[in-house]
Amino acid sequence: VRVPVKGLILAAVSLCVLVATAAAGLRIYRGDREYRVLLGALASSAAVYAALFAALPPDLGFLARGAVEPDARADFWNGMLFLVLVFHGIWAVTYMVWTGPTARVLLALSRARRGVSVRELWREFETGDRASVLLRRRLPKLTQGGYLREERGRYVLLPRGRAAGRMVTYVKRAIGDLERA
Amino acid sequence: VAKGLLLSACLVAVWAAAVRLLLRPRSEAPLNVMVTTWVPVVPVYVLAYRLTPADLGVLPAPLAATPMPLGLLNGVLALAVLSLTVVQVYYHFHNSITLRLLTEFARAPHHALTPAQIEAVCGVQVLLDERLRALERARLLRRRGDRLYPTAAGSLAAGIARVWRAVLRVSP
Repeated sequence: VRVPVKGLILAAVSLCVLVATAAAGLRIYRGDREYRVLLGALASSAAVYAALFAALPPDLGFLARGAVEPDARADFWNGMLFLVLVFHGIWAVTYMVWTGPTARVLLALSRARRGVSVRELWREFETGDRASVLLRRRLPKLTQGGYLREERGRYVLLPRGRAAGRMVTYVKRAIGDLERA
Repeated sequence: VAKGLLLSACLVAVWAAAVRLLLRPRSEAPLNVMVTTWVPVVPVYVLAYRLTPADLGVLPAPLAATPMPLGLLNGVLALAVLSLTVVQVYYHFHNSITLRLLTEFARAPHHALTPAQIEAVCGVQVLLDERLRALERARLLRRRGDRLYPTAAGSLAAGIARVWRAVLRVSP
């Protein structure tokens, strides 16, 4: 198997920078917009990638001739494409294990030596206030983001939320997740 | 690398369209459909790469000069990463609680819901029932009597989640 091209190797190095930056950033960050830390990590890793690509020779000093992409621009954007796509994967996995109920269930199951009943699992998601742990974080974020407004004991969708809701409904129908009205 | 990227992007688009046709509304096992239909995509890609000209009839000469094994392998890698991205986007729209909330609000009369109505459509009971069924279908958990246990794959997934949470130091 030949060694991959320069862009792919540098993209792999930049992804390590991305994970390290995100890990450091999330340890320091105290706000509730953590996605900014992840986007910042992507920006810094893309900068590292671009700087390394500009500074290093096409064969990185060790690549065989057959492993060098002849077109430098294609090599650069190929690596950048992989960097962004893998970042998307990291983003999705991060939110899945962080806020998703699936990971929470699996973690609860793996902790319990004698299994867990459904009722015991429910307790994992209950909070003292009226919203469950699944909604406690999301409803305020939608309200702060201008998608919802709380008025007279109910939540109302604002124009921004309607536009987003229409788009999401459209995509959900397109992927077969919702029956057509 | 351009030829491999173009071919893999086209094949992923065709595969995604085929998956969409095969998935019924509220399909019980979307991942099975995706995996089963993805398997033949790789040999089709290799065959397409071997049988088509280096410039695909459209690429400028500098982009068609990639050594064959390199372009082929890069395309296989692109095929895998693009397909995973499609799967992740699908599951994001399928599973995201925030997007589900927006859909339920968009479909509700006067675009308004009380906390009790929200709990009824996106509450713990509804979501947990759905996820438990999905985890069981994916063979990540098994039921014994009224108790749930992780399978070996479920324990592995939990271990990965635990490590990733520790790396980024995130907790719900």
